Amino acid sequence: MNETSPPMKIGETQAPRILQVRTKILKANDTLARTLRQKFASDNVFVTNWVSSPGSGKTTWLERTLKELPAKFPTENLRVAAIVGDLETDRDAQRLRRSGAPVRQIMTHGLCHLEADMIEREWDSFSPKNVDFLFIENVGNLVCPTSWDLGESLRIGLFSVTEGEDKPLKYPGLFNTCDAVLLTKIDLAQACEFQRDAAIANLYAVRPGIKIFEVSGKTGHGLEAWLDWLLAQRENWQASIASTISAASTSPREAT
Amino acid sequence: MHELSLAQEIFKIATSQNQESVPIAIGIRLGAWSCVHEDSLRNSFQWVVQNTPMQNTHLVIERLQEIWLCETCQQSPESPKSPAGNQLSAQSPICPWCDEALRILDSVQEMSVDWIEYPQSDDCDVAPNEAHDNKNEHHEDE
Repeated sequence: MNETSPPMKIGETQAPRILQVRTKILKANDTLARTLRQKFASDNVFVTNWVSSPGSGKTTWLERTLKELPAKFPTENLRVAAIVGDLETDRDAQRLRRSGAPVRQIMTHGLCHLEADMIEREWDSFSPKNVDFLFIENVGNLVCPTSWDLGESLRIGLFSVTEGEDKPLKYPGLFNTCDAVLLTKIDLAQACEFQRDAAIANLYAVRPGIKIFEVSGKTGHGLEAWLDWLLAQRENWQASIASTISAASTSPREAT
Repeated sequence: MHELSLAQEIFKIATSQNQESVPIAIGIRLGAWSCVHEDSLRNSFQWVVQNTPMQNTHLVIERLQEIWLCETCQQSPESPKSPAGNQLSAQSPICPWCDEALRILDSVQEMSVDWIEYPQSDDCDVAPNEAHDNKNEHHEDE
């Protein structure tokens, strides 16, 4: 029997009933993530979800971002915060708090990814909530976080030059879901004989046209462009929310 | 082991259908890039349903192929080609007609419960084990 087709009959008198369900396995998470996204919009906080393998430099780059983003745009008076996920320890949170930003640590105790309900619990108890940027550092893993929407506005993938330029081809699912990718530890590219053009081609292969930043947490290479882009993305996001609200308030259907 | 989380969600979906009988099988659709290992999902599901009425319910997994879309010609080629002209699959998504980069459609990430198979109402009194055995016999006959 072709196992890909639902069986139609067991016998003349014992035909099974097939109930068409057509429900996403992660519907509960997706529904909660949608609610979270609305909550973040209501709270005016722009959320990014950072995904990568362990050791790609997420925490280093996030520490720089938390520190440098408000400093680069002093007139904006930007407030930043982070939620970081790891299987065990709060070492990353302790490290990130050195930036002065409020940081929460989620210890998953074995779970290989963050889920929307974890973020909801943290955000509901987050204080203060007057935050402009919330950065979620997911558990280091290039497989499992792919499928869990955390209510973010953007998903940021990172991979370091030490991991090899073929990483996007090995993990197409994750990189396909990203809105931007950071090529980290670019200061080590020459020592690693990193093939930059191949890496970029591989990223485009799984996500054509994706925004790519080449960065170094050690030297700060790429930081300016990254921070400019982040701020611009938040402005675009705010404009799209305002546009949606405006359209809803002037909709003839709403008016009638 | 995110398959365990998925198995738990599948179990919740199956038990929320308000059906009187116990499912014989559950049809699952997995996109090509869904990052789910089929054996791991089956093993996780067996672990989740053990000591429940669904302990004999099994998963029938359909793995979906990548679907590409050319935004220039709006075609979905079955065999995208590489820039060098070699016929490759997912990793060289170039439209064979336009030579434009292809966009992958969302179905590659799909993870869904497609259908649930129950015994006929007349069989409701049949123990889940028996119903399962009957079905297996029929499948083997096919």
